This record gives sequence, structure tokens and C-alpha cells, in this order.
Amino acid sequence: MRMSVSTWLTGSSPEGLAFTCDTSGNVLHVVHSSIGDTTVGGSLFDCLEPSSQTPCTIFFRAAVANGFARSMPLRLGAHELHCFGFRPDDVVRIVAVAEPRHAASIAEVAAQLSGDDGFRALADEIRRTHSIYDVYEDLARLNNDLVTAQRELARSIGELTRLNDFKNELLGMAAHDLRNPLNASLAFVTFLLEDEASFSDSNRLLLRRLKTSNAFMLRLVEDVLDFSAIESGRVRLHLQDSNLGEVVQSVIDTMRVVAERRRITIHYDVQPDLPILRVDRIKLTQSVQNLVANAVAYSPEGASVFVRITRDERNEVIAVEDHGPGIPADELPQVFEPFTRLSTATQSGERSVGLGMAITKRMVVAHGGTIEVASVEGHGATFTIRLPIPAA
Amino acid sequence: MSAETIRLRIEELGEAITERHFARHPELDARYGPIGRVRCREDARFHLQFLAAAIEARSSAMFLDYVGWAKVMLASRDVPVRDLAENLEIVDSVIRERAPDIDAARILRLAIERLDSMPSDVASFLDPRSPLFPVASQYLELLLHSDRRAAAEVITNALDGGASPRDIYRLVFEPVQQEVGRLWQLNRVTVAQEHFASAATQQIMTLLYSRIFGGEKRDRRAVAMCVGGELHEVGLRIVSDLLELHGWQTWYLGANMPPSAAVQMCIERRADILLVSATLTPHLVTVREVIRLFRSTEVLANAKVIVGGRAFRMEPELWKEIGADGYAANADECLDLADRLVS
Repeated sequence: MRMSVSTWLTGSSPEGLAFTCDTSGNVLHVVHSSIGDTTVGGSLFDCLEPSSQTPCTIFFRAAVANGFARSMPLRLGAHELHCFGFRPDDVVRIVAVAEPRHAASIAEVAAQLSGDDGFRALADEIRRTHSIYDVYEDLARLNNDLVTAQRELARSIGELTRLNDFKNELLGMAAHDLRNPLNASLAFVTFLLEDEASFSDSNRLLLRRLKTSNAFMLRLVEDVLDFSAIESGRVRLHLQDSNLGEVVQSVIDTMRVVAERRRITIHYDVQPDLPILRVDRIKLTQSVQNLVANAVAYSPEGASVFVRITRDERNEVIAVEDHGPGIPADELPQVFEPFTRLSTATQSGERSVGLGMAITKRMVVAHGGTIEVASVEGHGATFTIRLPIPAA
Repeated sequence: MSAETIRLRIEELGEAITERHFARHPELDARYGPIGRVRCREDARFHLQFLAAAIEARSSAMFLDYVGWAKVMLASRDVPVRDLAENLEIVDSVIRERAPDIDAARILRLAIERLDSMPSDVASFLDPRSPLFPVASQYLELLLHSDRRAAAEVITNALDGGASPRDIYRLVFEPVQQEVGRLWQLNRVTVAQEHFASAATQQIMTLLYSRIFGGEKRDRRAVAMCVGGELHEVGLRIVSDLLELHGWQTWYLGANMPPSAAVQMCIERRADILLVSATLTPHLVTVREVIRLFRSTEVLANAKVIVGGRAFRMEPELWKEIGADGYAANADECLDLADRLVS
């Protein structure tokens, strides 16, 4: 197949071209991966922009005379290319590349495609003459690109943080405005249900459902308020000297009422001589309550929930263990993420908002502590809070 | 002979200049070996590129600035000033013979006449009166000893000690970067040290990003680009980071962006301002091209162009002729100008 040099140049990839010329610049043979071996008519100079004629002549003469040369960027067809030429015999091997640092590998590919060792020698020569200054420049460019990417990343993070703050603010405002009417509405329904007998069976059922929904919505709104307060950094801990045993005991006293309805036993085991910790009692109570309430909700009727306070080297450890369905391994990493709903349903039929664990984790972390979960699907789950004991 | 002709025939003219220089001084072949001619051709090409830029800008001051810079650079490498004078004479004679041009001749004569009286030293860019002078000096020393970690520590300590990110940019990064350039010019640091210092400073800047990019934003947008594949990017980075700190949203394009892509970015980002920086005057050609393209884009009719960089320093009015809306000599000026142009 014969084609003109300019057709070939416009039709091929600008990343890299490899071809051979005679010593007058007539193109003999093109080696290029996208068009294979093609016999090309015409001269190298045919398709040059006027401004590139002289530089190309100088480059080509130098390659012919000295055996090796590299050009300034030349405008060839629609592309700006750096040429590298090598003349070990009567044939000049040329690679033309947009990026000089690709020249050697293009020459290497050309050698493989054509079986012409002249291209391999060209690749060696390009590598040999690649000066330390070229390396510096390449490194500087790479570094510039890297820093630009870091900058874009920082800019995106800044924007995302702003958006996230805005979202939390909006959520907080919406939840705040919803709380009062929901409270009122729950109070009205409760009030109506005090006089249950005056309603037909079906209306009573509807009212009970209304009350359940209302309570759920209120809990959702309160969780959202808590969560957005934590996320926007508006939560302050009111630390006071506290006995952990008492905090946990108060939770268990509250939860026993709920647990007994489903014949669930809460076993509580506290090691003696608990140290006094400085904690925010209300927030810690809320955190432990979230764990115990979850354990009860996921336990089958008649099961047991175990709550233990122990100590390791540096921490007081509160563990809450249930024998419910457990958490599938692939869902474990999301347990503490906001708005996570697990695939396993509660045994009590209670709906989950998906914020309780996220709030719990953030509160524990605010105390300088950690929380983790261990679970084998089908065999229950154990949540463990560790709170650091202050150095004596 | 116009600037354009010099550019078109730069290889041919460079070759002729080199031939003539070596014909006059056959001993140079023995002294420098084959690389001597290569370097001579390179130098000739530089002279011609800077000459073309000066002719185009009708500015002899621009070429004199370049020659003054070259004089210091060569003198510190033991190249006698008379060699430079002679080389310029040869440039002059080759241009006269091959395609005479009245502006080229005038500018070259002026440069040759003034060469002797041009200073052979450059003052330090570190100002002892600056409140952050000790930080800047220490930072510079550590960079020159390739101790990036300690240099970063100097910066974080200064921030912890109450220095603002803005001051770190203006009073440490900016002058230290210029100082490293001066030390290279004076042959007191190597190319490797210079590259290391630029790269390290750019990396250390990223340590400040959490403080810069988290602030309050106004709805003002700027796109920043260097022209001509220049490696002198730090200055523009300083300007765009300071704009960001000042509440702007900025997109930094670096030096490898073709003009059309930069203009496209301005459209996509609904830029209020395009910042174009050029260090070397031969790259002014590309600045013109960028501005021409920018102006011919209808949706950018209300957007403005600010130019900056060393290439504009000698001709305070060049920005008008080149079609920009303003010129800023340093980061502070750029902040003020950007606010003024957009308000």
C-alpha cells in the first residue's frame, strides 16, 4: 500500500511514529503498531510546516553526518513532535514522539515490529544521550504534576467539608423544627389512647400504629439532632467524676423493663474496685443504653444478654454480648457508619434509625475511648467499649 | 527582518553564529571539545529568542535585562564578559548580512555598548528587615542541604509560632525561591540543588493546604496557568494559593496546558479571572496566543486576564499592548488587582 506522508501522519497516533528514510529524506518504510508495515512515498520534508523546514533540515543533516541527532519540536502535519534520528548505514532510522521521554521505548517497539536492529541501536543511543538535565526536567515535571494533583485533592476536600457542614446544619435545623410538633402529636395520641374503650377495635389499632410511628419519628429526629450536633463539633462533654458501675447499672435498670416483656434476662457482672473515671454521665449512659437496647432488640425471646465491666492494662472495658442472629462479616465494617441498616432484622420488630451506633462511636471517641464489634453470623454479637484509665 | 523571521530562521542563524565564532577562535574546539559547538548553538538560539521577543515588544530594556542576567551568569562561570560582547557582535553581523533589521541592530548595539557598565552582581532577595528573615534564611540553608524534613519543620514551627500562611508564602517561599534562582545564576548552587529546592518547596506548600482550602469561600473563580512548558511554576502557585486563602476558588493548571485547553477550563469553571505567568520573554508569544483565544471566546466576555512573571518586569506597560486587563508584579499586587477587576 502506498500513501503520502501527510496522509499517514494525520491518520496515525501522535504518541509515537517510527520510520526509515534514505539519506536524502525520502521515506522508505514506516513501522507503526496501528498501521503495520506500510510503504510510503514522498519525502520527510513534504508535510512540514514552513517554520519547521529549516530545523528539520539541520536535524536530518546532523543525523546523516554524525550518525545520531535529536531535533527541537517540529510541526509535522497536525502534530508537534521531537525527532530522534540514527544512521548506522545507508538508512536513517527516525522516531518522532510528542513526549521525548517515550522515544527510547517507541524505538524499542519499532525494532520488535520490523526486526530492524537499527531501531534497537537508536533506542540505546537515545538512552545514552539522555542527559542528567533531561532527567531533572522530567522529575520537575512529575513533581509539578504531583503537587497539582495534591492541590486539587485538597481543594476537593475543602469543598466536601464545606458541603458536609452545610448538610449537617440543614439536617439539624430541619430536625429541630420537627421535634416540637412531633412531641405534641405523640402527646395527643397518647392522650387519646388513655381512653381506649371509647374507640372501635379497628380505630384503636390505627391509633396504636400512629403512636408507634410517631415515637419512631421522634427518635429519628432526636438521633439526627444528636448526630448533627456531634458532626458540627457542637458537642461539649460535661466531665465529672463517675463510677462506671453506677452508670451501667442505671442503664440496666431501665432496660430490664423492656427485656422482661420478651422474657430476656440481662446478666450483669462487674469486677470489684472500679476506679473513678471522668466522663460525661449523660452521654456515656446514652452510649451504653444504645448497646444494651440493640442487644435486647436483636435477641430472640427467652435469650440472655450479658453486660460485663472488666479491666485491661490501660482501660476500663464494657462488653455487651447478645445471642441474636449476629452480623454478616461483610457488614461489620459499616456498623458504626451513619444511616447503616443491617440485613438482619430485630427480633422485637423494632425499626432502626441507623444512627444509634454512629452516635455511640462518636461519643466514645470523644471520651478518648474506642469501640469495636465482634460477631459470627448466627451466634450473636459482642460490642466492646474501652475507656482509658487516667494515669495515677 | 521581523521577530517572526528570526524565529523561523533561528536554527540557520544559530548555526551561522556558531560557525563564525569558532572560525574566529579555532582554539575553542580544543578547549571545550565537540560539546563546545552544541553549547554555542544553544546560547545563540537563546540570544535570538530573547532578541525576537524584545523586538516584538519594542523594548530594548527587555533585551538589556536578559544580557545583564547572562553577564552575571557567565561571569560567575569564568566566561569573560568580552566573550559575550564578541558573541553579540557576531549575532549582530550575521543578522545584518542575512536579513538586516533596524530594530535588531539598534537593540544589539545598545546591549554591546552598555555591557561593561552593567552590574556584575545581584543583591540577595532575602531582606534582613523582614520579620520572617530568620525563618527564610534557615529554610534556604536546609533546602540547599537537601534536608526537606527539617525545612518542613521550620515552616510548621513558624506557623505554630503565630506566622500566618500568607506571610509564609510572601516572606519565605517567594523570596527563597528567587534567592535560589540568584544563587544558581551566581554559580553557587548546582542545577540539582535548584531543582530540589523548587520541588521541596512545592511539596512543603501542600502541608499548608488544610489551612488554605478549608476557609470561607466567596463566589470568585480564577484559573492559573504558566506558559511555554516552563519549570518556573512556584511563583504562580504562590499567587493561586494566596487567592484561595483570600476566599477565591482557584484551579491551577501548571505549565503543560495548551492554550485551547486553558481557555476551555476557564469556560467550564466559569472563571472570573485567568492568571497567565511567563518567566522568559520568548514565551510571551504563547501569552499573546492565550489572550487572543480567550478574547475570541464569547462566554468569557466579562472575564479578565492578569499577567505576571519576570517576563513582564522590564516593561510595566507591556500588559496593555499584549491585551491583558492588568499586570501584577508580585503576589500581593495580584490579590488587590484581582479583587479590583472583579468588583
